[in-house]
Order: sequence, then C-alpha cells, then structure tokens
Amino acid sequence: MSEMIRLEQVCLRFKTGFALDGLSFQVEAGQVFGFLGPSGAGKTTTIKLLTKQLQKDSGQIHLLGKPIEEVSRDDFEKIGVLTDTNGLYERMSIEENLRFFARLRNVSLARGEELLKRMGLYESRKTPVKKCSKGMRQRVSLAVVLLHEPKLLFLDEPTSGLDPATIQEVHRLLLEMKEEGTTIFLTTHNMEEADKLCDCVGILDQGRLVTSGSPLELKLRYAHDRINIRTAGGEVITVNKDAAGAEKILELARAGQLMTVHSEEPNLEEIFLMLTGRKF
Amino acid sequence: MNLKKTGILYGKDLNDFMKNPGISVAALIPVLFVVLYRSIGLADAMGDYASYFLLNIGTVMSIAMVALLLVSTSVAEEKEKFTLRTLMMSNVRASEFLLSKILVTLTVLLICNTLIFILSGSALSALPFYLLCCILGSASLIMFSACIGIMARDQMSTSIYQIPIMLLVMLPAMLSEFNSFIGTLASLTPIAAMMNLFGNFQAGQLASAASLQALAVMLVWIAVPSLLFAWLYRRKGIDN
Repeated sequence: MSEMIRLEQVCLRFKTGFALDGLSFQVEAGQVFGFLGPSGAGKTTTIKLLTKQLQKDSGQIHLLGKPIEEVSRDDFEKIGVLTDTNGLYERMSIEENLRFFARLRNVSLARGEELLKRMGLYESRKTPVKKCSKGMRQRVSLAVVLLHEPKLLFLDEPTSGLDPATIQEVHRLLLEMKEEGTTIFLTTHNMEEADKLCDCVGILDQGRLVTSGSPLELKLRYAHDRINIRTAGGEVITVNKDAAGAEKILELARAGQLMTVHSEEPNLEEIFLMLTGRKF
Repeated sequence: MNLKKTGILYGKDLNDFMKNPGISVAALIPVLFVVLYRSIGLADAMGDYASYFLLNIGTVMSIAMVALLLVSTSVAEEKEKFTLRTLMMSNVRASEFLLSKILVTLTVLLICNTLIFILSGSALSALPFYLLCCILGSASLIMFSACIGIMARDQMSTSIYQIPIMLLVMLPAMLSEFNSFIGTLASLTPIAAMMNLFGNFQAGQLASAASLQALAVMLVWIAVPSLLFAWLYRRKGIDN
C-alpha cells in the first residue's frame, strides 16, 4: 500500500460556517506529513474526519487504501490517535493505565513496560496520573497510542506544552517510528518541529490548503529574490538574483572585498504569513 | 460485542468505583442508614414492623441512588475527562462500554441490597426472590441513568436530570404508608411496585392480580427509558 490517506474536495460545514472547504491532499505510506495552521484552521477537524469521529458533507476520503465508509473496526487496529486532550484515567497510576489499554488492545504487558522505559516513565510508573505534570501525561498518552504499534499514527499537537528535553525525546521516538515505516500525520504550531520531522507539510487556513510540499520545496518556492553580501569592510549589500547581482558579487570578489554571500530563504512561519497574512 | 473487552472494562469500572469516594460513599449511605437505625435502638421500638420498614426504606434509597447515579455519573465523567474518546479510539464499542457500566451498577446494587436485607432482619430464604425483584425494579432507573449519561455534557449537569427522577420514584415510595393517595401514586412507581411484588411473595400471594399489576408497572417503566435511550443514542451517539 503506497497511499495511506487521500482527501478529494472534502467539505464540512458547521453552524458557524465552513470548517473545511474543498480540502484535498494525500499522504504516502511511511511519510511524516505535517499539517500546519493557526488555531481554528481545521486541523483537529480533519483528524476527526479521518478517524470517523465526524462525517464529511461532501468529497471523498480514502484511508488505508479504501474509501472511509469501508474502513472497519478491524482496520482501526492499525491506527493510533493522540488527541489534543490526553484521555487518561486520573485515579489510576501510569502503569495501571498502560496495563488497562494493553489488555484492551490485546498487547503484551512487556510492550507497555518497554514503552514506559523509552518514555522515561518507568521510575515513576506507580504515580497516579492526577499527580503527573502535563509533560508526563503527554508522554503516557503517547505510550498508550504506541502500544499496538500502529501503521498509521495521528498526532494532534503532540509536543504542545512540553519542556525542551521532553520535546527532543518525543522527536527522537517519532523519528524511530518513521524509520520503522510508520506513517505519521502530525498537526503542530511548531514550525521548527515540522521542519525537523516532516517529509511533507500542508499549510491550512480557514479550512483550505493554501500550499503543500516538502519543507525545502516550500522554502525554495517562496524564496526571496535577494542575496545578502557582507564585504571586508563589514558593509551588508543586498542584490537581486539576476545578472546585475552576479556582476556585483564578481566585482567584489575581484577586489578581494567579498566576505560572505547568503541567499534569503523564508522559514515556514514566514511562508505562512506571506500566504495568509495571519499569525500562528 | 466482544465479551472479553467488556470484562476488561468491567474490571476497570469496578476498580474506579471503589477509588471514587464521591460515588462509593453515596452507594453505602442506605446501608449506613439501616445500620444507624439498628444501632440507636429505633428499630427495637418498632417491634415486628421494623424489619419491613428498614427493608422498604433501605431498598428505596439504595435503588433510587445507586441505579440512577452510577451509569450517568460514570459516563459523564468519561466524557468530561475525554477517556471515552480514548476508549472509542482504542476500538471499544458503545455497547461494550455501556454494558460494563450497567454490570457494575448491578453488582454494587446487589451487594448493597443483600447487606440491607440481612441488616433488616428479614428471613434469608426470601433473599434470592428479593434480589430478582431488585434487578427488575432497578432496570428502568439504570436505563434512565444511561439516557442521562448521553444527554449530560459533564458530571455537574447530570444532577439536573438525576434529582427530579430520583424524587419522582423515591418520595412516593417512602411516604406511601402515610397517605392513601400517595400510596396509590407510589404503586405506579417501579420501586414501590417491586416492593409490592416482594410483599406478595412473602405473603404467599405471588400468583395474584396485584402481583401482575406490579410486574406490568415495572415493565412499562423499563420500556419507556429503553425507547428513550434508543432514540437518544441514534440522535446523539455516545460521545456527543
């Protein structure tokens, strides 16, 4: 199976207006797809549609290579979903939560123990969830989602509210999963995260996909047509990427005045601002 | 429906009930009430009537509180804390989820009512039939509780629906001895109907028109919330 997710002209309307307005994109198997956009853009709604928590008004959705209407309960055994709310049993300990979900998923308890160790939660496994920090809860939720080794993983802002060390740990884990062939659909506000993890990103605004491609493709596609030159005297000169600009660089080089040459590529946040005029 | 999953959910729900003092203490209140009545000597002053009085009032309180409280509060809490969504994403069906809650309610109810029965001093030979009556009498309230669980957004809002139904079924049954009109009204409530059925059994008049009437009242009370539940579930689903 090469295509894990495909949306064609998907529309969903709430009472307040269009949540998704002709959304189309596809995610190949083994890819990490970053779904970027500001709050209310439709990211979580898209995950809810893809996990059958909501139903589309129109358009086509294919999941795991088949129309979503044909996706069965058994197919959902191949899917893991981490939502923006970590639904854990607060009166249970971390270990009890893992054991409970492992039994529900018919997974060995050893797998739960292995995940606790990988998430750095093994030492605090007896702690009740209600006494855990937000970061710990997020790691427990991630461990729960990974218990049954899903082939397709939906992660709704998985590193939101985590400290930098935990974010790094989560990133390392996700990259390991990618190496193992897991397809990951990731929504995030964090542009550095998208840059680091994603093979492909889609930028969503007001229910519409405004652009998509690999982070590098997007940076090149929306690159500024300018080059910054620093001279030996410390002066910064900006030239265009044209024959005149090349002539200027050559001239400075001949005179021994050329120190550095940098082309200006926007980051993903700048690209988003450029395309939508809105902040994340 | 996967019975193994239901069993796993049942274990979790029972464990959660015991760890949740807000619910477990409420379930014990009718038992404690009977213990209190016995320990301060009020029951002794009543003579032969004490056994009937304690069983009646303890059962009414127990069924009205436990049957109505447990499913709705538990479903609402799972919605409020998003654990229901995690369960649905873990391939749990709504039927497995609800059956587990209903089984936990019945377990708690049967344990509490067995204690009430023993503490009231009733003849132990009647215990099996009494428990059967308890299941019949509580079924309608358990279904109402499931409806409330679907309608309520969170635990706080469950009480808006619970209290009127609790008063409707509990008060006439508790006050039926004091006024004939209330007594007639009470006979149309499921708990009083079950106590009437049990009373007929103890009096050796199980095969009577009064028993049939009591059974009919209970069945109607079971049918109404069951239909309401089916309608609500089709309209709103479990995790609305």
